[in-house]
Amino acid sequence: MPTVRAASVAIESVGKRFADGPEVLANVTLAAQPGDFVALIGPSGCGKTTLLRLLAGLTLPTHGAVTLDGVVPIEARERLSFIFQEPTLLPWLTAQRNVELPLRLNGEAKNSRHERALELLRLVGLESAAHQFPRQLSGGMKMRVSLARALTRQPGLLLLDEPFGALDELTRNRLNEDLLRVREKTPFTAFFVTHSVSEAVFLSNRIFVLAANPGRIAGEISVSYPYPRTAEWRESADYQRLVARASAMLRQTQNAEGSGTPS
Amino acid sequence: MNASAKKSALWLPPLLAGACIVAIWYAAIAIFNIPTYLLPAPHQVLHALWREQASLFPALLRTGGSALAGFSTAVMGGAVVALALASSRWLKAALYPWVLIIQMVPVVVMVPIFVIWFHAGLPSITAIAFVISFFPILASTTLGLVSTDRGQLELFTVLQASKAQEIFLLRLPSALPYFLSGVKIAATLAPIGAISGEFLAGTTPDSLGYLLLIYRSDPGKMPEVFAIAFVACALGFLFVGGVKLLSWWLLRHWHESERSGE
Repeated sequence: MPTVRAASVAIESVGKRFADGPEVLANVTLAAQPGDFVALIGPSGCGKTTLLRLLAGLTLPTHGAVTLDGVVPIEARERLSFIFQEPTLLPWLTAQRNVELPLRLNGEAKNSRHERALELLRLVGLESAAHQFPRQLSGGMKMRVSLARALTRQPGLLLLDEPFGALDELTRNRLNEDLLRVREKTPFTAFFVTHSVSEAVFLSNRIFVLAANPGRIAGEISVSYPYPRTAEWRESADYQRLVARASAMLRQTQNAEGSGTPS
Repeated sequence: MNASAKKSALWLPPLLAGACIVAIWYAAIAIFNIPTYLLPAPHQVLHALWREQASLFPALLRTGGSALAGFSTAVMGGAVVALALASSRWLKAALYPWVLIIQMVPVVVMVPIFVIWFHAGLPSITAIAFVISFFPILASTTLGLVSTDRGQLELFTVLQASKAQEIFLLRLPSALPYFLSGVKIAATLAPIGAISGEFLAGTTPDSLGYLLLIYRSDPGKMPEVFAIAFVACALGFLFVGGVKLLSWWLLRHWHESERSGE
């Protein structure tokens, strides 16, 4: 897959307010280089999902600008993929046909999209489930199909909105490892929203901690441990230290708000 | 539990219950000495069925035909109008409440109006079956078309799907279970509507409703009246059974309502 190029992302003094509601995001500035894996963590209501939706062009900023390789997201949609909290598979299609969907919407020929879908299902370890329907699949398997579907268009930017939040820890860890393994083969820039500090440390090279009311960047932690990362890294002191540091920063931003833990 | 035991567990209880009902039926007639013109015995009903088959069978076809004609045009019409309602927020807001209200018009009121509009006979009966089937299909399909999952809609937005793709590849298939539940309601109502229409209009000879009109004027023909009930049940069962089969076939892979027998 030589045509793929990881995208660069620029978020410049972005503010967001919905209708007459409170300010969701205020003056957020963040630049991601091609190939960055950015994790966004923070308390509920800190606007991390909104930030992701701004990057997908699903909502527009009230102030400032969001660009993807220099273009506004709505015009760069073919370069980005979004993985939602829910797998959002179409229940009337088999796993394979769900993975094919983006290509089908693009008007791609049947044969080539069949092949591509099978190739991606193989990549996420679900080749044998190609002809099963979503309700026959477990939560983790559904999320794998969703991941395969997101990769069909070879995105330069992958946006993930707490995709593994509903899964048990074991499945979540496995999917984290698979996500990094997939990334070795198809380079993309990633923005990953999560509530789990350990997940953020394992996956990303940059962690942004957000504070709420209004949502803003409270701090950044860089994770310099090189890719490819394997499951064993989780047991190292280095990893534990980073998790502790990120947790501490998260706790401090919440305490600074003075209202304990909003949920 | 093996497969055959599972199957017999399905049909055995209703069969036993049926046998009990027939036993109670006979017992009641014997104990309370109920005359035939009030409650005929099961064998008398069967006998009436046999005796009157020459008029009952053509009537079944005639009534079934009217019901089917009205029902199937309602299925198509309901789906098309629902698509129109769902495609415009304004149109839906303006018309949907009326769809729910018009459903409340009873058949008794429809009959005289339709007889005047479409003349006595087949067309007015078909029109009644149509109207009575149309509104539940329209109401539930419209609801289905506007209840598409938000996440799936956003997925289609991110994937740059066209409006037509969104309708045909997402909105229509997700509305299918709603559509089918509307069709199921319509399938029970259409034969009832047709028979009631025939009975109330009294202008369609050789139909179940018309036969009922004749039988009921003769106190000695109570078994025949029960025979009509039997035939009407069979007709309704055919309609509902057909739709259930179709629904199972369409949704067998993906919908919770049809997930048994896996």
